[in-house]
Amino acid sequence: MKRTLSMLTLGLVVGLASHLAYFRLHVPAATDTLDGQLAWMRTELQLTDAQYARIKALHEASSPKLRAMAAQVAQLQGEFTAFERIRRTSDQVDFLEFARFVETRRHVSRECLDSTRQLVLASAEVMTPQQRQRYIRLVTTAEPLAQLLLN
Amino acid sequence: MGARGERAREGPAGPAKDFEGLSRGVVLCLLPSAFPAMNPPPDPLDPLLDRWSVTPEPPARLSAEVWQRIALNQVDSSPSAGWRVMLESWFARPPFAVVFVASCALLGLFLAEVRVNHAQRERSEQLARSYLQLIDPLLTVQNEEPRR
Repeated sequence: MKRTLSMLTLGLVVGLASHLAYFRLHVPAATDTLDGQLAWMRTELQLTDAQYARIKALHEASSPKLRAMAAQVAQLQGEFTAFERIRRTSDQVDFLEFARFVETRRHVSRECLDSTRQLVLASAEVMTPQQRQRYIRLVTTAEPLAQLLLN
Repeated sequence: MGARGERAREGPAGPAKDFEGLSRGVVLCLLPSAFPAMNPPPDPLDPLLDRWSVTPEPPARLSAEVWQRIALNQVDSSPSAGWRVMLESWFARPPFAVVFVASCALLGLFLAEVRVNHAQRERSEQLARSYLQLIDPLLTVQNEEPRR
């Protein structure tokens, strides 16, 4: 009985050890950097070295502009929240200010979509038709992009 | 008196009888008493066995003990005990033990591979989402909004 129990325990320990060791070696590393995302794109779309270099350059070039726009959109979102708070508390709305805000937001949104479309189309240009098809399918999973690219 | 007592009274040669009219000395081949050297020595147990005629009384708990033993035998032959015995006999063989441990390791690797595939799929979906956020500032803000 002792032997049976020790063999069962040994089997359990060996199984667990092999499981944990293999999992730790092969588990995908978490990365949210541009390089990590582009490396994922390279694997996902099976890009060649030249394609990868070109797409990477395109993304790196547009990344600062896109980040700045994201910050601008976030700021506008904050302003809208402030407008809404004032409207609820004082029941007053500065319509001129709000109209200016709406106009700015419309302009920024249009600019964001244009920048994104330019980047997506420039990247797609570098790809083969099959890669492009997969890439467009991938980016159109986001609703605003889908509307923008499919129209 | 037992059978041995009868044998002792009659002697090793049995009752003295003639064989088809011939005297004992003539029928040499039938009578071992013709060879005195073959007589067995007297067994000291024989008189004791002759005196032993009392049958001992069975113990008071004999019936209970018999039933207890039967019950124990039935427990030992139950399916779980059979499995245990079979398992022990299998593990007593070194090749089986080695194969068992190797199978455990392979099972661990297989399950790890399944987990890795699942993690890669999830990671891929997460990277797709974060890539879309990277290229679309509007999406970035939309996704950050609910966290506030």
